[in-house]
Amino acid sequence: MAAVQADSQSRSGGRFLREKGMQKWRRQETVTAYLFSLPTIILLLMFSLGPAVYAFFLSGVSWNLLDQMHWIGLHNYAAIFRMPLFWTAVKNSFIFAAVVMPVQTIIAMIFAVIMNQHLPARPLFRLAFFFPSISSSAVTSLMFMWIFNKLGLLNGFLNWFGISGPDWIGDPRFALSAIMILNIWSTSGYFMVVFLAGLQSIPQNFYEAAAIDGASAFQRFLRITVPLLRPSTFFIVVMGMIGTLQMFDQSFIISGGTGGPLNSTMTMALLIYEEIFSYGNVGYGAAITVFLFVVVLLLTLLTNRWLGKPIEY
Amino acid sequence: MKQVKKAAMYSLVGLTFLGLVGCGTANNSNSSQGGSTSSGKPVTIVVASWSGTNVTNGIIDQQLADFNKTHPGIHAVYRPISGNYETILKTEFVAGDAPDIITLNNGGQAPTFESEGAVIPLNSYIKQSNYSLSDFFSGALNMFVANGQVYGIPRDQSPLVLYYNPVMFKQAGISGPPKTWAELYADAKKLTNPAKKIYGIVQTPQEPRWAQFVYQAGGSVMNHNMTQMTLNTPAALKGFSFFVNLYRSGVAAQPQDVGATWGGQALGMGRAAMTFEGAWAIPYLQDTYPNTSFAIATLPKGPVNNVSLDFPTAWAITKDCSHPQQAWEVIQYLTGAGQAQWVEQGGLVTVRKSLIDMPYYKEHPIYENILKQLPNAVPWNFPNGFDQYVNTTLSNETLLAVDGKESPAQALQKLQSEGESILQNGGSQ
Repeated sequence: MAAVQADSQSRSGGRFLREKGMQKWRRQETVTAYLFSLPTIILLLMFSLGPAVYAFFLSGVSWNLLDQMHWIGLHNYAAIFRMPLFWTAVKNSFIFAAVVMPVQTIIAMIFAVIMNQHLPARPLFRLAFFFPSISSSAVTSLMFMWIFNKLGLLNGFLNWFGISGPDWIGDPRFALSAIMILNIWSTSGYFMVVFLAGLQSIPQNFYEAAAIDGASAFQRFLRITVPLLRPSTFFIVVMGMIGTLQMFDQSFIISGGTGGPLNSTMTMALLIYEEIFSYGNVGYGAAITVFLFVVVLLLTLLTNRWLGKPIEY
Repeated sequence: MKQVKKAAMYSLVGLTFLGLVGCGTANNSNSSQGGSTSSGKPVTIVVASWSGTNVTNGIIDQQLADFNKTHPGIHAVYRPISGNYETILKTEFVAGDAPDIITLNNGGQAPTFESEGAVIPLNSYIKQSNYSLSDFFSGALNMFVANGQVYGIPRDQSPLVLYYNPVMFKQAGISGPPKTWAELYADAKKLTNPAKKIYGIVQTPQEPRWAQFVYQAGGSVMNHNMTQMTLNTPAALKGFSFFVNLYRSGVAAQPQDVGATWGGQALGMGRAAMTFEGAWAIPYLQDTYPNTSFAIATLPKGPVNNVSLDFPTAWAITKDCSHPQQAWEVIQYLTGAGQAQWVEQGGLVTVRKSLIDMPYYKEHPIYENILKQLPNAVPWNFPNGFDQYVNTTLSNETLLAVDGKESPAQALQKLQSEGESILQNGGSQ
């Protein structure tokens, strides 16, 4: 009895010692981990978080890059909310996101499902669809400027059907649509790959069971594929939304930086750039940046409530 | 054993930091090179401009190489800035790391840099070296003078002239380029063939392509001191309406209507019989469209005169320059002896009156009418604070008028009042 007690005591003492050792080891491990990631943390603070905080500060100053900046509080926000061009940019950005995001998601999903079948030359197709997303958007924008040219490829194609195509880039009614087409073309491929990865994780036996129960291919797609792809869909919707609301490069190149014709391709991100670097209103640009940040944050939180739940089988 | 492990870990962490610090020092050594003052070493002067054509870049490179040979104490280097020139310059001013010498541009850029103190007055240097300004075309020089201070020494300029396709003119039975507005309209009408997508005039509808019509009608965009908008006069409306009517009546088209991006390209593609451009279109047309023949005429005369718009640029010294004395020597060279080289290389048009008789111009008669137009040209300029007005407002209102969504009077009225409100706010917001 006594021997047993002594034994258990010594054992618990040993456990105590061992736990203390573990704690020390964990702490050391944590310190090491932080030390190793410190360079990255410093870079992140210097080049990502720091400038972001600085943007908040800049939204309260009057500054044209060359003169002395001075603090004017919330005046910039009042000014941008009274500016028609700002609301044009907000409208354009929202229309752009509302069209491009769903379309690219649906196209990506459909292509992913097709590419997941055992088709001939599958790698070739996958490459072809993925290629736009890894090519430079400056290059693809220039390419599409030729396609959308009044006498370009697209209108030449429409001519075969007796349709006299519009001036896609020069006409304010069509310029934004042209950029939408370009954007959908260039991003769908990337999201297709994300969906493809999601498709790999859906167990094959669900489909077999559904087939035995007599579900058609379309029913299987709608009842099994779509719901079980929700984690991928969530990622794609959030990334697509952020990407479309922040669309800058394609508008910039196609309109030559002006957001023209008649501000029809002026997006929020382009207006931020224009206000800061071309018009010399750094405060306005920073205020729009903060506005865009709040909008994207709220929409992401909303999407998270809608799509971010874990899958329940 | 433990100590060895510890040492290994710290050295690893140290190594990762080294990577970071390495980046830092590399940058530092780069930037300190620019303004090195160590005795004995030549002073480096960085000369910046927008990256032009191969021709213009090559000329500046060669001029600075020649300068460096004769000036051992100074090492001048050319740094072309590609992309959005003014934007990149402004960010370099924010970083306090602007080039020593920059090129000031027309269209309201020079007054912005001048009034914010980004470039320094050159009066004392001009006086001390007895540098004569009288040989410069006054229009080109005056654009870089504010309140009696000279901020820039003219580099090059070009007035707008009428480019036309003589083959098309011949085919249409027109003997020569139009001399008056009425002839311009009649010729453009004869030369237009919408079925073939050929138009009498192809031109981007923008202010620096219609302001000359306003001047030709006796009006102006702003008063001489740029303190008042003057687009609300009947003369301004007359000039602007004539320009808008060219499009409304179908004898003029926008470049994108014929698949081009600017008027010069449309002319080269054979889709335009006429366009208004500056000397920059000459090397472009010769290189890109060697099979399209083109000729140049002075502008057709309006009700009052045939004034053109001029687009001068100038060299200036920045406030960040730590060796303004040496920078001034570079500018003296570039605008003195360098000017003759500029002409001989077939770059842009000279800013010195004495050089228009140079043999180069005799051998290249295509420049003849550009030089003839020179004395009759108003520099294209706007005061500080007009960036958005020049970039966006002007083109938008012009486009609305050309598309028929606004009458010329409505468009001018808007331009007048928006310009007035910028002036009332003291230039910048």
